[in-house]
Amino acid sequence: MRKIAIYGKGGIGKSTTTSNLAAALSEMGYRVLQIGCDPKADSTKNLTGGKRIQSVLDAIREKGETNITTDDVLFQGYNGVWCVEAGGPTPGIGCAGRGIITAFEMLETLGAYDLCKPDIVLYDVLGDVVCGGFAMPIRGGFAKNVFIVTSGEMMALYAASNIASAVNNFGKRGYAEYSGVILNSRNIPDEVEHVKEALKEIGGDIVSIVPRDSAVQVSENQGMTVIEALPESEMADCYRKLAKRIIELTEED
Amino acid sequence: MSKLCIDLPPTAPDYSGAASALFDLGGIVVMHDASGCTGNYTGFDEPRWLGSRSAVYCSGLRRMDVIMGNDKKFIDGALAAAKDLDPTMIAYLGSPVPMVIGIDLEGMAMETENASGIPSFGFNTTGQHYYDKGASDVFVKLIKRFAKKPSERKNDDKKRANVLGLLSIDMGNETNPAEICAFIEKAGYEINSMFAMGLKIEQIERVADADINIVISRCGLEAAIYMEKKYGIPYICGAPVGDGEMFLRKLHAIAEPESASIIDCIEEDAAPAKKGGVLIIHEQIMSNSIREAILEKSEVPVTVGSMYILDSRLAKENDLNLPNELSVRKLVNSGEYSVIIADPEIKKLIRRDDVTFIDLPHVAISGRLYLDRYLSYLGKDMENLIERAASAATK
Repeated sequence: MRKIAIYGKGGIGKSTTTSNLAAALSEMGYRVLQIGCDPKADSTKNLTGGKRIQSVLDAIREKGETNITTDDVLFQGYNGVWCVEAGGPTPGIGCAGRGIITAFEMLETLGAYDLCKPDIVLYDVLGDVVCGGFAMPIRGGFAKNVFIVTSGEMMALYAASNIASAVNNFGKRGYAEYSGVILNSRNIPDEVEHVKEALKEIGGDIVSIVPRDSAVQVSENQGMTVIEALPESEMADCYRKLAKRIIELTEED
Repeated sequence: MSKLCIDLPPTAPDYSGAASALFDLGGIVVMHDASGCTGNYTGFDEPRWLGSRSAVYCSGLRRMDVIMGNDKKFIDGALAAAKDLDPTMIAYLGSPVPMVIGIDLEGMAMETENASGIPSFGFNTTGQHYYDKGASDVFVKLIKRFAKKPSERKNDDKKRANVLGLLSIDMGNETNPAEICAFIEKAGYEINSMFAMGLKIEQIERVADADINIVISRCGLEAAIYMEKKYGIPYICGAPVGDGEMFLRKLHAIAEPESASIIDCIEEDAAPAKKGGVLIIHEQIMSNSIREAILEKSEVPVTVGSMYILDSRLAKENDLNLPNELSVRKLVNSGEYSVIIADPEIKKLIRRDDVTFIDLPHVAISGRLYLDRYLSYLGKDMENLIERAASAATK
């Protein structure tokens, strides 16, 4: 099983990239499980026809910790991709980080991994590694590789630097390793050069460049990934290339 | 509000069970808490604490440590202590605050081990489970880490047994485990390892050399199941009580070639599936063993009630889960039982005068309060208890 976490600044396109990556990997014949680790619980909606699935924390809220089953939290989307949303507390109160931990514990308790037997697990993680909960996907036993989605914008690169630093700091604990950045282009001038310059400090390489393309928006408006909505498009091929690259850069655990 | 303890002390939690399981290993145990949990363990749940030299420390977790994520401070503390104590291992135990904020105890252990070379563990105890789970998790993890492949000893003529579940919280004193092990030795087995009173790393390394596992209390069951799967070692569940006759039957049965593991040896028709008679509230395997001995002497119904989550693998049809004081209070006053065998603290809950109450102290409930009245599980004390229960229930 390959276990991969996707981090990056809020709004940078992590969920879009991860969903398209999941769809492209599934086309290559892999069994894929995508776990959204964001209290908004919208990581997988483009794999499920634009409909939100019930999150693990919503299921716990509704049925209690002892009564839920895999049917309550594990859903299949486009091309058989398994989808899970960790979910979060009531906005403004509670503890989102602890929520992620609880959701992960619940997935293990329910035997979710045994049921869907994924070849690849993708953890789509909110923003930054702000606390123990949001580091959960990269702890021992979870993701092995961390990819950071960034653009050439200063704030996105700043966040990428923080995330890479956090991941590297955890090296002594046997956590996941930082494996490079995915450049989700915003079409700013000299964007690739900006990112390469930043990577001299952050470390790592650009794994793949995802150009800015209206195909993404057109597909999302239909509640789909580009792979599903516009399979013949250049953008779909771009995500397929990313998928191949990710396979090259990761190993089975 | 039904979960309130009004008359009973709170039962021993998972971190106490874990600490007790690690007590004799010669390691450093760091309880990651503000001090209340450590105090609960050392002050109430560990009969051996006073006068002992076991290195159980409180981390002294404070508000700013939680906010700032000061893991390094605690790792450095453990490393400094390790320089002085030369421990066999280092273990971090969780408590409610680390659980709430998700402190990565296993990650801390890995950092500690990388820095010191000393085998280190993080146990995710939370204070929300009972002592048996904490001890059970420790046993399994220790075996997974330290156990070696079966040695050449496995093929010699000696019969060897691992004794699982000798936890001070169940045993109460040093005499009970010593007598139990002597009894097993007299039955022809060499004691290969004692989990956990008297446990040393070398004993864990050689667990696979055993011919059988003897599960004396429930905290040893998961380790026995793991070793059955991993090494094909069959197990029996039961403690020798009174004259130990029922226990010996299991021991002889398991010695037969190709014998499967044995949970109990009560014939179904010898354990009437009806209410009434005797109620035993104690550790589940100890309770089962006392039940077997009573049923050997009389035909009264005997029910086991567990305050530590009833394990269905060890339970008979009418056995009861008693999740809180209220459920115990209702049961002991239900009028269904003429004899109740339980910790003396439970006597406080009984408002009826038609019940014969027989003391069976349990550290998990009453801590050190009744250590001077702790029964010897083998011999006259327990034989009298069994006799008294059987005859009182028959009247």
